[in-house]
Amino acid sequence: TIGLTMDQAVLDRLESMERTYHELTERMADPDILNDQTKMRQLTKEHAAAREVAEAFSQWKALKEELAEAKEMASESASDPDMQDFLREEQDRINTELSDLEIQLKILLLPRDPNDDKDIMLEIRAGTGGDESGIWAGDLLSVYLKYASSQGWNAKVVESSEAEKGGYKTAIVEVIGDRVYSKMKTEAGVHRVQRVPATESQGRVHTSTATVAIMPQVDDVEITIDPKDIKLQTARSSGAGGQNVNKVETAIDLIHIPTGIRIFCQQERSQLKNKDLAFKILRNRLYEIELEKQQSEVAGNRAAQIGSAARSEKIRTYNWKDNRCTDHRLGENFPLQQFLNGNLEPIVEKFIMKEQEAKLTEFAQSG
Amino acid sequence: MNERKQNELEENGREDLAEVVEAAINERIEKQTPLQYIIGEWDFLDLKSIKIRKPCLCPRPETEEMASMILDAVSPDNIADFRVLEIGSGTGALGLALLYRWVHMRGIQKVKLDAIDIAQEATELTEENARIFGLHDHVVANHVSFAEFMARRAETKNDQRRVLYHLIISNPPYIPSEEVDDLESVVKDHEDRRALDGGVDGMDLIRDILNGAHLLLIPGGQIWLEVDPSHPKMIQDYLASAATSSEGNLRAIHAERSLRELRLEDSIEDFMGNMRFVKLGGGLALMIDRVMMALSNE
Repeated sequence: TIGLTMDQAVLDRLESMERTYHELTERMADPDILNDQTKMRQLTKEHAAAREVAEAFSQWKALKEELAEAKEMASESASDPDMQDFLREEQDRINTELSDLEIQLKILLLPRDPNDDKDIMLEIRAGTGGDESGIWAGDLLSVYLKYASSQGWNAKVVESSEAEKGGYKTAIVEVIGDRVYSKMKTEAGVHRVQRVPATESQGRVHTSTATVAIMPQVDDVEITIDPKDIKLQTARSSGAGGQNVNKVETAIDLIHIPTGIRIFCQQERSQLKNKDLAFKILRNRLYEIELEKQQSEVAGNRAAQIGSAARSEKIRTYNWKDNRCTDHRLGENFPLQQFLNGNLEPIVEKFIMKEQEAKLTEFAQSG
Repeated sequence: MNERKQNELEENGREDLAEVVEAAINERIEKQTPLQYIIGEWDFLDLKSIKIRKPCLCPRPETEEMASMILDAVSPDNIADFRVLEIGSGTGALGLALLYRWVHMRGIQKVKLDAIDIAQEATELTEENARIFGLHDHVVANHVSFAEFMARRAETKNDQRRVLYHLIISNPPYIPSEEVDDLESVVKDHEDRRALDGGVDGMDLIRDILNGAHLLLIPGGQIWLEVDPSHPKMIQDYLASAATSSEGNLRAIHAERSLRELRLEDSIEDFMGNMRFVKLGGGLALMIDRVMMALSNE
């Protein structure tokens, strides 16, 4: 087993993180923060991350003490062979646990993807395959909503454009909860389905696609939008407005001129809320573009690239006849029904393991 | 139709949803009844499903924009007892939206809203909505005209009962009388005319508010009004032209001086590019007012 060299530098770092954890715990009791929903959400995430390290470290310290005690008892009872055997076994047990814990701590100390804790906006678009691709997009939406529910996340459809024959042309879902990005990021890419469509009368198998994009939620500090770059249209006719007019069409049509991104938002009955939502979606899209740019610039960083696909990369094929879903990045098959039931955990866990392995290897290689 | 309305209808034994929907559509198309009246509610800022009933004015997106601007410009933080006056509360949307943000989302408890309206239905609806949104303890709704409101204040001998306000807000009727008849049927045939008709130039109630500001506003306080695009200039002129006359009693002279002290701090465009909102504030004269009120025997 690979152990972690617990030299003074590492110990100092862990002690410092433990202190941070206690500070964060105190901050969470602050009434000012309690009343501020945004700050509270942010703090809860930081706190959860810090707690992981603090608890693992605390456990490590406890095990170290146990080990010291066992060694002491061993030297005190040198004349008792049974005791010696027992204590030797104890020390072996504790050492194994310590090794495992040290691996865990190492992983926790490695630089995380700064986006891992973030909430996301999930975007599903029908791809190739006509009507069937719209239905498939709807099926994927259903899967993700089930998964979000099973994870205790809050998922809300914020924008959608239904497809004529069923399903969606596009749908955007806001997903809020614990570590959403870290678990959902590997869903980004093209999902290809091979089955007999509901609209098919002659039993032929069709192949169609839907694209999933995962956008970490970003606030206005990280992405600033110049008002001059925005063209905003509302349903209000030009002219009087105000008390003179009562139109309940509160849709917002927002165009970001430099990128050509266009967002049509009519989910809310409040025009202001639609406007806020449209801007939120725009910010997230702009951030996603930034991220893609950054990730394609990073060469040879395996840890960062596992699972993160360009929007156009085919990541999975779902085959109805063979009842399986194949992930092309992992090179593995998973039961189709499991996926359709919204159980993504087996796939997600595989990716997380791979990511950790890659990070560990990197760590080992960097000495 | 939203889920809640659907459930309500089903509970009332209206099995045939199609009938109900058809009746609603007819109401909408033939009589041009505002959709908010048919559904009985709408959303306004954070107030989801605020109740809306004939003849109260249906909240407009411009007013929502103003609410958002006020929230950016003003905060009851660090003020022991923040008092807001809303003139013409209607459904209560504007004042309640502000209070909702402050009380429920930011945990600020020491905020009070005095909401007045000349329509009985509006006063009742404002109270109803205040209850619905858990703001009943922070709101007093009064069925009274602005003139009557000011008259009652003047009669109050006890100085302490004449509260001053940190914030005065209003979406006063601001359409010139002549133009009201040219409005679309959905507005003119259904919404309370008194909420729309602002007199010959649309400025009647606005002028009254400006005239009374020095008796209402705490120095440093703000007045926010939604107006007709022709008004910011007219307001500017009105404040500038308040002449000091050597005739009339001390109070009248002083009222005129105070009007000059009232400053048009900003006029702001709405999302359509119309000059829709004015923000006013008071100067030193308002502080002197307070002293004078305390000294003089009304």
